[in-house]
Amino acid sequence: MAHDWSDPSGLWGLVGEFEKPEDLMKAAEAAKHKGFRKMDAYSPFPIHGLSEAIGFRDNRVPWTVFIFGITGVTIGYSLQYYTAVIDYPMNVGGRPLNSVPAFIPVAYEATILCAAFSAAIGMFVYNKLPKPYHPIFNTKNFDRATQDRFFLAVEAEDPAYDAKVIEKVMKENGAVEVSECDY
Amino acid sequence: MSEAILTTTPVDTDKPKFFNYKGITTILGGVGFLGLVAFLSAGSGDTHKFMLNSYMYGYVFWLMVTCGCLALTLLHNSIKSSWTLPVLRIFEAGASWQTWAMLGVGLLPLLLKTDVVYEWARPEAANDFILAKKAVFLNKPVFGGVILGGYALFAFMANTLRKSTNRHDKSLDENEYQFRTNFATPMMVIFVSVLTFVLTLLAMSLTPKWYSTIYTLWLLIGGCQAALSMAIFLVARNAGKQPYANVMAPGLTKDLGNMMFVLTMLWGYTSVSQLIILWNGNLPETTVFYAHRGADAMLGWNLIGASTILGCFVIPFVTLLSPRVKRYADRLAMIALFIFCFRILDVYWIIGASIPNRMSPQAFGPSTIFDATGWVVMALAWFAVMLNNVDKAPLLPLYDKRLEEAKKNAH
Repeated sequence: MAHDWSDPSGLWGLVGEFEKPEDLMKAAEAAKHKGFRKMDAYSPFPIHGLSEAIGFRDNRVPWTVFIFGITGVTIGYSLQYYTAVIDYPMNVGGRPLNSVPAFIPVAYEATILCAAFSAAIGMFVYNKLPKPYHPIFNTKNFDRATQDRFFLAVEAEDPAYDAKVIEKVMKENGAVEVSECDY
Repeated sequence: MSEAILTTTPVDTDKPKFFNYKGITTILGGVGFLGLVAFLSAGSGDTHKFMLNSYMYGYVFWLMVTCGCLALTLLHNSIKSSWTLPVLRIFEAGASWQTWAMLGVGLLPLLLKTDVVYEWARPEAANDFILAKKAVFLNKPVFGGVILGGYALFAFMANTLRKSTNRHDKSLDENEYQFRTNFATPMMVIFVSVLTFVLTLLAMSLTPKWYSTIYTLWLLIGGCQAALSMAIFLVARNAGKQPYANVMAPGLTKDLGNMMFVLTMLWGYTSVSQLIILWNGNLPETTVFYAHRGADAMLGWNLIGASTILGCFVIPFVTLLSPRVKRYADRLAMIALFIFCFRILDVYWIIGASIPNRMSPQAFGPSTIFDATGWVVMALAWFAVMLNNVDKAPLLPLYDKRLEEAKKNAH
């Protein structure tokens, strides 16, 4: 059930703090193995394979970029086709009106333009950004997530949420601290 | 499906399979190559003429694979990349001084019978206004001197790097790495510059009145694509065998796939750049390159050209975008083989259609048998040299353990 934001109290989730990225990876994999799905991990630098370890799989941005890229190439090419072949046909050096090689740069640029904008805007929309407040910042020591510590959070909204099991999994895999995090 | 993580599967301690073909390739390649060179150097008549013209295609294809191997060796040593380590020995062996010596011997028929292939080498070229002006550069002494001199320089580069890696394997002295970086970085610039002269004489002068400044880069990127896809195919097919099993992991196959992806994009970029520039310029002396391939007598060339757009760009581009393809060694091997096959067609389209005196002008006709014969003989000879060379050093450099450590630390 979604959290009622008008109520400032309540548990957001359980957060484990780790000293090493290897421990974070092991804990994430173990938590996924136990059936937890509403997880997130925080680290000072990208860790190869971490998104797979927490079971993160979201293809919405690539598909958005693909669809907008196709839209861009269609618009870019159609615009040139309409102007050069239908609306104002002109013989340029005996080349065909539908001058495919000459149309490539504009079609390509339109593809990139639409794809790049959709990637940036899609990223903001799907991440629900800007987000001025997030409960994870209430976690003890979380300022070190951008320095030298690694965090794994399991949200209370997870259907399989069980604080004791999560704490055990995290501690078994090297968590130096496991704490509850409130909204 | 054998995922590149092979820790759970038993490791095959046999040598990679490609070593099994060393003996037969050496015999067939050695005899075939020397026989063909002798025939082309001394022969005469129509068969000799057609074979020598068709030989150009196979010769340029394997020259470009060698150039690709050298370019990627120089790149590896310039940036000290770890992803190149499993394919480095194949690149080193493919661009060894022995390969350059073989290509030098293979040039002999073209030096002796230049006029059979090149229009500019015939006496009537003196009466042609443009060719007479170009004779300062397009003449036999310059042709032989620049190409053989270029080969000697490339052999020197390859040999210096190979000797250094061998020394490094024995001494584990990190200064060797720095030496190679200092050596390879300027050599990359020199290599591409000298190769421009070599390919202008050897390949672009097949159509002596046509010119394109992107031509060398276009061919070189194709050569790198061919060399990389061949090496990846050999390594990925033997991913379960030692020593590759020690290093093959999804991170590595992804890196190798990404490099193939980069070269695919570069090939597309250079190909389409040349087409757009010539199309927009719309000058008869430059558009002749494409117009010639679309002429009535040149049946089939446009079909090959169109198929390379799909096979050299669209299909590899879309396939290599997917992480699922790059994660598995056997899938990566399949796409590498696919790219290599289309490289064969692409060079056929670029070089084959430009050769003036093939037996028949169409893409698939009586001359195809001559084209294929030349290509196969050169392939056997090239692999004979490469396989004999690759056996002389450990398949994975002993001095760099980054990949082994990465695999050990992988989860």
